[in-house]
Amino acid sequence: MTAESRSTAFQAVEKHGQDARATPKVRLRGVSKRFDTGVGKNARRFEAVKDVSFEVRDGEFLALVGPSGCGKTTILNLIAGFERPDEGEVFFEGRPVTGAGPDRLVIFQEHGLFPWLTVQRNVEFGLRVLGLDKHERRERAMHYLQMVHLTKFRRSYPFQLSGGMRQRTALARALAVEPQVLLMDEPFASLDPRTRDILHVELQSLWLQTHKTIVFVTHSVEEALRLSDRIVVLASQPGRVRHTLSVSLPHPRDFLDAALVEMRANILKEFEDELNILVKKEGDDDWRLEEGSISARPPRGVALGLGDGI
Amino acid sequence: MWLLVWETAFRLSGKEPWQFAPPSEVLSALWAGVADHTFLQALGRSLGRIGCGFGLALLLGTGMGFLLVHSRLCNWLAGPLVLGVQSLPSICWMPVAVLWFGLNERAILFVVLMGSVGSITMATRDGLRQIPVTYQRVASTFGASLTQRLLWVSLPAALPVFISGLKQGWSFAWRSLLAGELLYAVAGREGMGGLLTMARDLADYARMFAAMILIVCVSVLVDRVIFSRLEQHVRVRWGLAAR
Repeated sequence: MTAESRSTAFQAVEKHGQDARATPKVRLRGVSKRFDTGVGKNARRFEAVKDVSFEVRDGEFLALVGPSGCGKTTILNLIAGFERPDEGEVFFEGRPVTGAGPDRLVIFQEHGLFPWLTVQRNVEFGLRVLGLDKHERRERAMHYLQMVHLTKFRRSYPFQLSGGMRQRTALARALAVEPQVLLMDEPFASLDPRTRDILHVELQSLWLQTHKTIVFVTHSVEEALRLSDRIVVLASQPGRVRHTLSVSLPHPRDFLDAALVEMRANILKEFEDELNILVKKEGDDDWRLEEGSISARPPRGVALGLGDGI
Repeated sequence: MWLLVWETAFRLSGKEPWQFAPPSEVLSALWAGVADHTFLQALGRSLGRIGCGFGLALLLGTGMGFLLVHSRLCNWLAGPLVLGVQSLPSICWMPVAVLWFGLNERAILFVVLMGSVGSITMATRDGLRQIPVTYQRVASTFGASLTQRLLWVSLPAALPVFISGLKQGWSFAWRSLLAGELLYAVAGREGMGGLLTMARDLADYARMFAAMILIVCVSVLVDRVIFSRLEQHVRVRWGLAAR
């Protein structure tokens, strides 16, 4: 990216930040969700999410970060409308969420492409649901396939594509219905680090082009810091908001940036307590992580292997 | 190769041709049957019957499978019944069929239907039940209606399991048909099963073996050419098998 586009990117972030204060795109108010697990004697209620409140502003890239079991996917499912909260409420543009819909489109970890459709027909799926005619469908599909650089593969089937290509197809399919909000559930978790790097760059440029509001669930602090404007850090068992922090740095981001390294170390320090709880649960009683073994800063001059550490 | 073994076995056994037909006679009987059109006519009649019976089973079974998945009441009422009926060899329906329809075409169609409808129902049910949650959620997030979801997501997603069930259903239907035709063999309207009965009655063992060879050939052909190909194609496309 040139210096010029870099500064426009920065401005875009600034501008979004200002609009936002008016009406939050998504709002969670005191949301709790419990699940029943086990059968018969082992049956018990499991508190996935407890009293979670936060807002997502218009045009914002918000990351939900937390260790496994902190209910981040549950929160995403609540916003998507796949699940209903036991307590509290979820609002989308001021109205309570009652079900799933194409205004809050979900991108899944396992891409969720239909294997019986070609890349192009997959991208057209949402447009067929909307009732667009063949010509319009084709045009829009091609537009978004171009955006993710996949027009060459439009006649391929998902089984012929690599993991990264599948996720890009899923992205094009989602963007094609022009949703208000993109909900991304660990979309890059099963990709190799290099592919993930490419998709990070791709997603940032798509976000800057389309100004979508994005809620991005990940367990990787590095990923969240690289992509988002604001990070909601979650704690586990029960899932709750630990705190929220802003990352007001221009895109694309440099991981040698002292501010990012500092933030990363701070967040990982918090997770260390959580990991010690996990270690207790999954190992011998005397197993403890050494202080700083995970959150330690890299020595000066060594780049953070983004992705490799995820 | 196997023909040679067969011929040698016949020579060594020292039996008369009417006890144990040698391949040379069987092959010439097969040729004669094909040449005078009796075999092909019988085969045509059999395939016509199975086409009707299996087609009917396809409609009924698919419908019932859908009901079992989408209606809890139906599943509770009919689920165990379908399972029970499926465990009954279909030829056991023949007496009932004769009682209801008389000894005629419809009785045979009924037996074929009963033979394959269970497999198809189960295949539809299992196919629909194994659809990954992600597909359902993709349909939801795009706001698909119930019909759209059924036609564009559930049906294609269920296809691989459904086709395997279809294959099984067809082989059940084929067996039921032959069993039915063995019992219901009327001159001039006999199918492959009827041909066997007639040949036995006339003690024409070469012809009997010839008919059996034809039956096996048809089963293998239908399985290989239609169902296995279809299954493999779908499995590859659906990402379930390597090419």
